[in-house]
Amino acid sequence: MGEAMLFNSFQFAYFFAALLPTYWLLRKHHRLQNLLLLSAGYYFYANWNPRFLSLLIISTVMDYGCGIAVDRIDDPRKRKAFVFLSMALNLGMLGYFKYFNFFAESLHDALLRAGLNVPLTQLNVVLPIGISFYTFQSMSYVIDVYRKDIKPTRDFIQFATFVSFFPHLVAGPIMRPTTLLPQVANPRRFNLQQFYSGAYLIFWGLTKKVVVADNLANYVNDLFGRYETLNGGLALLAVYGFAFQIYCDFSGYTDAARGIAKCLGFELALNFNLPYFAANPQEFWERWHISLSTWLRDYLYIPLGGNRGGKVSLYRNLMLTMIIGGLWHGAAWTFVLWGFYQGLILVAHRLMRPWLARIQPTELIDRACWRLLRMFVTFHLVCFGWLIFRASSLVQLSGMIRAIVERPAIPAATVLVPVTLCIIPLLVVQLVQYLSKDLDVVLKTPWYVRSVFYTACFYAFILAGEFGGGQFIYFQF
Amino acid sequence: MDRKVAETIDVCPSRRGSYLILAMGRFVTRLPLGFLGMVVLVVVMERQLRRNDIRYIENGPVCWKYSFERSRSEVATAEILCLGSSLTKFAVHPELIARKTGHSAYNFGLYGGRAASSYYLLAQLLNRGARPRAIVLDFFDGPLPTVACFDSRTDLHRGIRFWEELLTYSECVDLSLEARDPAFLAEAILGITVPSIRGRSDIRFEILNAVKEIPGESRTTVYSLLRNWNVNRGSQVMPVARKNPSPEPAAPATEVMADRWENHRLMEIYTQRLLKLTRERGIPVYWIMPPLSADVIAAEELSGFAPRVRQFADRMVREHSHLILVDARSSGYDRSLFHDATHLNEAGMRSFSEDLGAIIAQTLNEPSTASRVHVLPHYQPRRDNPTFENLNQSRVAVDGSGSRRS
Repeated sequence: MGEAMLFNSFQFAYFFAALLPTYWLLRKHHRLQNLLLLSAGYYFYANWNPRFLSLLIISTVMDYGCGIAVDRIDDPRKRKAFVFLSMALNLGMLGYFKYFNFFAESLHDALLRAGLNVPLTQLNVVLPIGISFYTFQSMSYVIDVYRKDIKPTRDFIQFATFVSFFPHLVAGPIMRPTTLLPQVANPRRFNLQQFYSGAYLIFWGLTKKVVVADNLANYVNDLFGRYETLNGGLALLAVYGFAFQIYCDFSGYTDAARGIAKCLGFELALNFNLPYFAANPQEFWERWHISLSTWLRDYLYIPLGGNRGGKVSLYRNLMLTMIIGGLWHGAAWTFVLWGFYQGLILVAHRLMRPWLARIQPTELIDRACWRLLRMFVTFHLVCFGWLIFRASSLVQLSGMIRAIVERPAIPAATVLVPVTLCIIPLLVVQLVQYLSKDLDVVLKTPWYVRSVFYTACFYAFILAGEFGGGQFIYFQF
Repeated sequence: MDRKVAETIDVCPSRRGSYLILAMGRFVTRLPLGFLGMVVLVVVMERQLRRNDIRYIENGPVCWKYSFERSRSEVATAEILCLGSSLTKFAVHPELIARKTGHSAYNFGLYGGRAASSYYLLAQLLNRGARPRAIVLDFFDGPLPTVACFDSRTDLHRGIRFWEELLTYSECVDLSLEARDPAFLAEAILGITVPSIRGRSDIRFEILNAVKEIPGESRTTVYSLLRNWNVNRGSQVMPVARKNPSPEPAAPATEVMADRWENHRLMEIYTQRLLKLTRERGIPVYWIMPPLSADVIAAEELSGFAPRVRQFADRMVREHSHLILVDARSSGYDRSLFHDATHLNEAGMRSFSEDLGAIIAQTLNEPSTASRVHVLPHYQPRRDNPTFENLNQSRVAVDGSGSRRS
């Protein structure tokens, strides 16, 4: 088993440098272009572990077949059966590789507590990279065909290219068939501005990953590892650090993925929209991992009943969706707890909405201060969620909380300064993006401002970048 | 310019100028001006960094850079070229070699030098017109036996900072092809092209020191080294410890140590290439195995490394008639002659250089009758040698003069 081909590796640079010109040379041969993308996707995936490529292919073949079957058959029961077949296959794979050991272990522990020592089999399997992403995407295709939102494609190469499109294959964004499949089906035209914009996104995404996320990772890992002896200031700093680490890690990957897709003439969905500027938990989920939250909304929350069955069922649906969303992130009780917590703050926000609306100030400055206050509170609510998310065990979680509550202190400058130095430049850029309400504001500045910005990023990348950094966090999901 | 514009220009010549400006404007707006501006800024900054790299470069890279630069300036003056690793740099003094042989010499030994680095340095010297009478070098590929998974790939990547100071673009391609390592090619070419990438760790180190207000100790060391190499024709003279010298103990012998020679496929490839190159030019090669401390010898024997090296050396001597082996590992150099477990100090260097010089003189004068395997006699103290400026003295000179640029 090899390493996943990271966007910030020379191996990927070679791969992309070879692919890009060949791809555009084939611009008049649309089918060949798709074949090339398909081969590239399979190569990209097999580079990590060729054996698990079979899972991707099985999922693709099954869902392609199910899609056509669902479209051709009129009998509603049979149509449903094919949808269930697709879901059973995708969720079965996910369950086998990702959740079997977790549930078996949890059941074993529960039985032990009840005084029954029943030995349960543990599987010696590796979690296939990106399985949570491509199974969701592939499954949603069959559901969309069932709902008649799209017509199924008869071209297997197109469908396989849609599933295995390498920029987002292993860590999203989870693309909807309605948006990505037509892009695969239609010929792409080289657009210089789109290409520039893609190159910028790759550059900015990798800067976020290598400069901010990977540098913060060193401090965060160290501090979380020492949770028993940390003072409150350092524990708090670890949580803030992780909040920005996971954001820059994941959004950096997504930006790079979107940039790579743009260079190939595709548009991937926006996955992050300044999430830490959200003023309430609901807004946070409209800005964070947008492709997952909308997927969960459309394929889980709404089918569960959404907000159609009164307040109690609305809150139940919210809680269920968030708990399943938490479990999607990983097979551990801390993720379940994190999902539960997210559901809880969403429900609490729903309950408080009328009261919040009543006390909303009317004056401009008051309203700005009020929004700032709500952003501050939301950020800290989210940070508490990250503490649950990052903790490797409930013991570590309680240890960190105890440190923050029982041992308050000002963190040492040797940690405070570098962590702040990693975060502040990012916040400045994001503040400009937020105030201008434009994520592409940098691209719209005069050329000399862009030159200085790019040069600063270039030197930050080279001199402050942490190139020994590991995988992207979301690869494990 | 599109056809419509061109036609309009033909029809209406008086408006040609304004249409041209329009077309130019359209062309310019399509250019990635922000990116081009960045390229200009980066080029300016990188030129400055390249000119001032002495302000941040560390000991290892500066050694390779120094030898690379001296390979240009010493082309005409050096008749005996000393290549190889720090073993050569600390063991062979060119003035003593010149005194014995009557031929000028220069020491191009590199910290952590490899067979490949010796080959490329020699090739560069020959391409620049050097016509050496003899080559002196050691092949000490691989670090001391402390690394668990040692192979040529790991070795290459670990030493990339050094290679970037020595190799040209074409040599990078050549080495990557031999090593079958495209990642090395990309990294090395980036490093050679962009000084800030090459000196990344050095610059970070200096910035951190500046932030922490740590005085520039590393700069003083670099300037002292440069001065010491300058006054000693490339060799590094280490002071003799005043009392009870005790070299650092050798690293414990492991099984990896025995294998490291064989796992390092680049070592054999470049040894062969170097010997082929010198044979074609008719240049005799003296493969020196400088003295080692008793601890290291014992460790090497115990692990089986030493017999393998001897085996390899014997094979090379059989295969290459212009190769002369000078083995001094068991010449009984005691601890007082070493700076550390493997490197000689000034006294050790004097003795070894004298003996080596005598062998070179003998074999150069009577090549047909001389033996091709020499085991160096036991150590004898030398009193009539000139004294050399050692590193401590260089440091004092650098500190005292205040002019740190050698």
